[in-house]
Amino acid sequence: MTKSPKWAMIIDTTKCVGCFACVAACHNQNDLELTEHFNRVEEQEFGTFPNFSRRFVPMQCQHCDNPPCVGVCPTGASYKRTDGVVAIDAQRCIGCKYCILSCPYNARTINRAHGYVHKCSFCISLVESGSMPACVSTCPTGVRIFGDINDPGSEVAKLAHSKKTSRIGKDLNTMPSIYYIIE
Amino acid sequence: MIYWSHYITFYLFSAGISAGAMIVSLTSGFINRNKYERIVRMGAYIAPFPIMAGMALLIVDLERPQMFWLLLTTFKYSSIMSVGAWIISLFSIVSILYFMLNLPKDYLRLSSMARAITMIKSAGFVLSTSVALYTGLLLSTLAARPLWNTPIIPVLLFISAVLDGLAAISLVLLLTQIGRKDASASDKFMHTVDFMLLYLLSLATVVFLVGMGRSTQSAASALGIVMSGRFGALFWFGFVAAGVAIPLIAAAYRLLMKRQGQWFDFITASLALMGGYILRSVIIEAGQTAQAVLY
Repeated sequence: MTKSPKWAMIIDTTKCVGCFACVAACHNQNDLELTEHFNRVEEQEFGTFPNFSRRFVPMQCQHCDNPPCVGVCPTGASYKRTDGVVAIDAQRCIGCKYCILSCPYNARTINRAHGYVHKCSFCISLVESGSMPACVSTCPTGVRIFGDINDPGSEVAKLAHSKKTSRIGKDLNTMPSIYYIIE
Repeated sequence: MIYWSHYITFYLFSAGISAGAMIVSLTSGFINRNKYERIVRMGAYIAPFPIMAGMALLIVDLERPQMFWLLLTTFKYSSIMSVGAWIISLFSIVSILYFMLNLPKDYLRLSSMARAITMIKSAGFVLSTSVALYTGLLLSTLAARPLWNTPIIPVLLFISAVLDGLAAISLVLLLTQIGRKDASASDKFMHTVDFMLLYLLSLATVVFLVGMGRSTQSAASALGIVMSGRFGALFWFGFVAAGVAIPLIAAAYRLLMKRQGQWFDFITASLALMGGYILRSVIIEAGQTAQAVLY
């Protein structure tokens, strides 16, 4: 019997040129205001002089396996789906903003117009209809690889279990579903 | 980005006063109910009210205040906020019962039922301790916020809460002049407790500063935010100097010199309360700005 899918993403920062197409695609897909971001591109330096690199690091909800936002939510509005996606039930969100503060990746935002917290959903409606998340299909340099980490033959599973990738903020015990390649 | 406004600061402050007033009232009553009656009564009269104002602001600070009732149809032990919502609701009920128990007239008709009185007092002690403790745990359990994510924060806020409760009792007693005729025993008791709490608060502050400064990069940069600019001025002058050092010296002076002075007490109690508010406002505001270092 095959396991049900668990979605994960590889982000290869060595290929990112900082064009922000993924940010624009995300805004378009999720109908966001320009001040809100589910997905952003940070610039980070790694290493110490003279052996250092400067990379664009796309940053978004890491769909953690141990998500602090789900633990702190007082009403159960934030929850973890069996397919790995961390989701929010807007009907139960009271807008206390505790989850926003609990997230080390600052992945959550709130829109004062509707008053509930929202964030990246791995474009789960697109994924369930057989397509890729908007940021993945838009990326012109192939930075992002999306797939089922429970399928051992998938590229995502192979890379996630290789030594090439690491997870950001792993000291915080969040266990993200996004694996980064940073050299 | 600031997500929790000064409403949350005021809530933490008012919840601290309420819980602290109840803790001071119950413990002084336990030590000697007759000798310290005016402390016991005033603590019971104060306890229910500040937290009610705080709870109203807590609801206003929600983005969807009309849905606050969901907090009371859910219980999630993993969420300190969910546990806290239940604690403050139960505290409000028990603090009103305790308030009525201490009124001159026995409205609850409980004077002959010793067991019921003991139950109210025991529940009050557990709940007031829980309120004073949870407000710090609410912050300290977030790994993403390095200024909050330290075990000393709940200790700091707990001591400060009891101190604020005592200061509120002392202030209202001075303003109303209740039981002023034979106040010397209770005054001496309050001065002693005041000194001990300020002593503990100054120790916790030192542990906080040294601990944060000599810890991880995240903690050190979080402390940097507290030490600089507007927060630095508020922390050093508003909290450390005016809120802890001056009241501590004043408390020691009163005990050693055996001096009595109502104005003196009034000013030191006001300073301690102001320090308690400033401490919370710096922790809440600077704590949201401080980020965990991820790379």
